[in-house]
Amino acid sequence: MIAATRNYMAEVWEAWNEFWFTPISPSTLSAIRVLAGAMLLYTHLVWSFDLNAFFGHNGWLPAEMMQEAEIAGNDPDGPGPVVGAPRWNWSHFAFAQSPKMMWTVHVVALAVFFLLMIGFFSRTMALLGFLFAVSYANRVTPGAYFGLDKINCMLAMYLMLGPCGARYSVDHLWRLKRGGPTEVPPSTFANLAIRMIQIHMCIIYLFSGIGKLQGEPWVTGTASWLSFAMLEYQSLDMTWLAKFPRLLNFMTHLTVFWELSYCALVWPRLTRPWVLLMAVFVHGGIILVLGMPTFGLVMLIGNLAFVSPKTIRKVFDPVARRISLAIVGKASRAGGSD
Amino acid sequence: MAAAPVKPFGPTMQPTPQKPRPTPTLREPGASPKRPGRPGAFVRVVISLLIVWHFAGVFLAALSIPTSSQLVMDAAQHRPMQWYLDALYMNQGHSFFAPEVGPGHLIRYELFDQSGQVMEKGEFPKDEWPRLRYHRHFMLADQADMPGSEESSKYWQRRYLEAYARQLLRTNEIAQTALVRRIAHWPLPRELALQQRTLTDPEGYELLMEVTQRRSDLGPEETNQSLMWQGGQMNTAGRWNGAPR
Repeated sequence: MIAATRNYMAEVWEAWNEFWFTPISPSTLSAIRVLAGAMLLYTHLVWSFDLNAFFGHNGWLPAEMMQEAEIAGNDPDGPGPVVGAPRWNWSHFAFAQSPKMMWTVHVVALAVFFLLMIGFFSRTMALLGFLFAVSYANRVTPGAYFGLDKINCMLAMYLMLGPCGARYSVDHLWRLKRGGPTEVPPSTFANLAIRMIQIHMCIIYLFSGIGKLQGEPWVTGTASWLSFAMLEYQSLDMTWLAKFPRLLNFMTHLTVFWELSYCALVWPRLTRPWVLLMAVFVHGGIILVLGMPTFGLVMLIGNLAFVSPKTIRKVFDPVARRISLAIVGKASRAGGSD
Repeated sequence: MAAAPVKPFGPTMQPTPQKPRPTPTLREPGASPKRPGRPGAFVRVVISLLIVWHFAGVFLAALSIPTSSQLVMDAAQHRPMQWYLDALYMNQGHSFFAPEVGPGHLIRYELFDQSGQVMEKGEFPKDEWPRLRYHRHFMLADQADMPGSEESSKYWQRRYLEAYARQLLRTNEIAQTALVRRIAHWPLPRELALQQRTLTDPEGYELLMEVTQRRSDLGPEETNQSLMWQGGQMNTAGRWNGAPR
């Protein structure tokens, strides 16, 4: 009995090690860096239109009011604090107060996101990018943040854990130019970062599904219609669907089922392509119909964590190869062995 | 004519070669073999503990959305977990469009000059470009509230709307008074859509609150933002009348 238990524990530990610490190609993580970096850059570039209005001391969201609001309830749909308990919602806007200083830091932040996207000192830029992303998000929470900020911060956080600049990056080109190997070795920390994105995505979808089950429209199948019938979200008129109530019911139930089952069905190879295809439909709908292209795209970037490095390389390598050949005269083999 | 070869089946069938299966090996507990590229056992144990801690936090944050158990709320809202979640911006749930869908919100405002004449009318979100900018303004209208008791909800709604009114006065130096209304825009019921009613149907709009701010309400411009942000020292709890979530 004791031996069987010991053996079982050993197998569990080995399975855990296999899951978290098996080296994999950093291709998927690198691709996520490129896309998440682009999204971070775009997100913060758009802040430039209203930097003083949103982040200034006396803008839409005055600093004093935000401090109180954060203490009263940091997030409308997150854990409320014990009243009066100090929070640690840090932001560089506490120190960059004058417009000149705010803009100077803003330009630096944009440069960081750009460098993260192109992969120049990638790990360092991932760390700085994460700090900047959280800093901006904290200043406008609660007030002007939404799911995009949550996922931006999440992706930036995990990018810094692994070699996100191993491929599709200036870092990689630099290594090639200095005579480094064309193939990038598998990395344990690439796996660790990808696994953490995967688990985090599962938790997001699980709780999104559970939250929906607590609402009558999601149970009765009317939520899809209500989403289409909110003018402020609408980017494509779908009200013609009013004539098809069963279809609306089906779309609602399918969304809830998909979100609830994502954390289980995304792992087996048999069901994974279908789960990811459904992600494309759901988030594609958010992009086209519900007027949140950035949020839809960033969720799809998160879903990329479930795409194998081999598939990623088939898509990214041809472009990367051309750039590499043009700049340094040599390149990794397209769609390589991993 | 030669007979077709009969495919053997049943007990006489030749065994097909099978993939060799790895023979299970007995291992010492906790001593998984070091594989190339894997960190050492000690590092793996430390990282594993950090992973468990981290995802416990992600899980607790999402689970502690009201209504939740006291156990979960305590775990998520006390140090060190709360500080960890705060520091990494993970202090949130993920209930997108749930449990209820809508309503959407918008802010309508009017600016008055010294003689009390309306000099500007507007609303947001409206035509802001690009779409992400529109959405940020939409969120200003949507998040100008705080869940909790009715009293605290009204308190916070007023605070936000007053801040918006003051911002409008700052951006229009001639205006003397700003009137700001927060409107809930309810989704059009499907039955009404079938009757050719549109999403802009006036019946779908509900006034939630309106506030007025005068130029004299602006007060002296604060200059030291850091005093507000570094604190945790201010007795902000005393100024808030709402119930804890």
